[in-house]
Amino acid sequence: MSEPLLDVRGLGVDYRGVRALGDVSFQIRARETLGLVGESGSGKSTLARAVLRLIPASRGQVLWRGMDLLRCDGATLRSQRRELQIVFQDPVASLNPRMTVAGTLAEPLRIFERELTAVERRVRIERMLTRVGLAASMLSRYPHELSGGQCQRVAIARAMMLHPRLLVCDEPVSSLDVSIQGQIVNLLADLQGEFGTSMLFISHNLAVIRHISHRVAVIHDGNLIETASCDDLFAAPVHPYTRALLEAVLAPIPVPVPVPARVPVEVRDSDQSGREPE
Amino acid sequence: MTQDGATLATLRTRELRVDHPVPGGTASAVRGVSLAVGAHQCLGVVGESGSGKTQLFMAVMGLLPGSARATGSALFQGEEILGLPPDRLNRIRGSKLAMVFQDPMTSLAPHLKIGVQLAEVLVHHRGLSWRDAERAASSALDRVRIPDAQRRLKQYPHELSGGMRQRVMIGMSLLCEPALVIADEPTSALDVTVQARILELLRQLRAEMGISIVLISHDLAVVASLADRVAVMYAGRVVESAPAADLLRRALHPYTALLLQCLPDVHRLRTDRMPFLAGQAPGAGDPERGCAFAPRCPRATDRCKHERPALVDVREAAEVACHHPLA
Repeated sequence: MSEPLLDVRGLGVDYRGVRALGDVSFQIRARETLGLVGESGSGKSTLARAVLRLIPASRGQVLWRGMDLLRCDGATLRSQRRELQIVFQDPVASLNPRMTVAGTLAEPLRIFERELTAVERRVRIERMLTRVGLAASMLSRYPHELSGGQCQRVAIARAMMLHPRLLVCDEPVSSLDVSIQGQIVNLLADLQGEFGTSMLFISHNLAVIRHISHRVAVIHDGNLIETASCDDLFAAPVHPYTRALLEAVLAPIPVPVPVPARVPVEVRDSDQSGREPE
Repeated sequence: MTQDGATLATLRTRELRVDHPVPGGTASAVRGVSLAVGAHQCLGVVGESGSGKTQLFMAVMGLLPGSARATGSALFQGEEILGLPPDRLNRIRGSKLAMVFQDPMTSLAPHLKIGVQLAEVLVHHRGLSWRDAERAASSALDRVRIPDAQRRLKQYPHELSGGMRQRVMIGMSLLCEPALVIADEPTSALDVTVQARILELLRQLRAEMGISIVLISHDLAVVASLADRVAVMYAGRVVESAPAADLLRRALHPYTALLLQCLPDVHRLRTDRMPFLAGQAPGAGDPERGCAFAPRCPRATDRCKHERPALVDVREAAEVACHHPLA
């Protein structure tokens, strides 16, 4: 196996003496998605933020390509930021309401790729916008003019602008409608394949976690209680808490739902007896 | 009024519309909804954001902003409550007709102890003394299975977990033994394990107290776990309404079928694509032409683009608004 890209060792966070994150160790390899699943208050977001040093850690190491992010100086940390990006839960709140989509997407380039001309920037922005499934006409829009799903696409485009090596997604679909969650999950999976990004994907939703993760870590009360490959965890959860979590998922609809096929040229009356065509 | 309760629907809306004035016109959040909730019945209302599901019941509760206009009719236990003056409405709201909101943090007052907030309802609606009201508040917490009620009554909302706060909200809604509780996404802000427990609580309370429930959610799985009947809303209208079991097994409207496919399923494999509904629902400000779902519908024909399908009976107790329903 290759060297881990991210090697977190004994990471802990205390808030005023209260232990929010105990003593967490895990690794993420290149091109790998680690799903992190847990309930509110379990320390998921604290973990994500401490790894990126958005909040101070109380103990432990975050080894990023061999360098400890928790101990490097500000200039080094800033230079690494382009490799480490994050997508937050609330897509509307994580965009600047006074910036157009174009402005939002230009910002990472203005900071990290200053040599680009305005035209080059425009090309990069348009390419990424198309890649996340938005039309170029969106560039002049403000966040309040977009739907939640569109805002999240913009936030993903912003995070991917610099082709980071690690993308942290903190509940990226939890505030979206069930009907569009799939689009965003598929998009993230595609982008990961295309750019070879590693992902730390945080969610309380086990179905979403199962879809996107190679390995899954379960967090409870600030500690990782089980880490396993995605298939193993869902097939044979070991820890009782993991089992309880899997059992709490609402029973799926028992019968497979028919795919609405195209209407045949001869439209039939709708009151035929109840059996549906396969 | 109460003696005809058995024959009357607890709540019946007829052609209810909600219009908001916007610069240069009106935005119609609800475009004519007729539905009924029978005694002891649980009606699930499902739809994406912007489908009008919350607006519809805000209109019923008289909680729309002043600029909005609600028209049509909403009969609660046979009495028209749409456009009722606030003092009359206040006598019904909170006592016979209660609402539970999505966010249990913002719907409790942060600076008042739980006990005070619960007791206040009874002092106000039932004219109880504070001492009696606090005793009743304690049994309200027992009812929603909150252990150690005496201690909890002295706590502030921030000292309680999300699930516990939602239990308090449910307990509060039941204080005056209402005929109908409208629960708007009561579990959407909660974790899966807590969500399952809150739904179980609602199920038990319904059996114990014989209340009617309207359960509003964007999640069909949540609704299906509790409702007898489900109404699916799209772009301000009901597009399908049927007994819950039938709706899940044999969806009639293509939208319902697609929505069912989108349900997260832990049994689905990693290699599969996650299903989703392409496109976007029309907004409240958009003019209506033909079937609102046609642009996203795999079964849509020319007719769908020009002629709006009416909601018609197709099976026993099942209605659908579609020119080309499934099954």
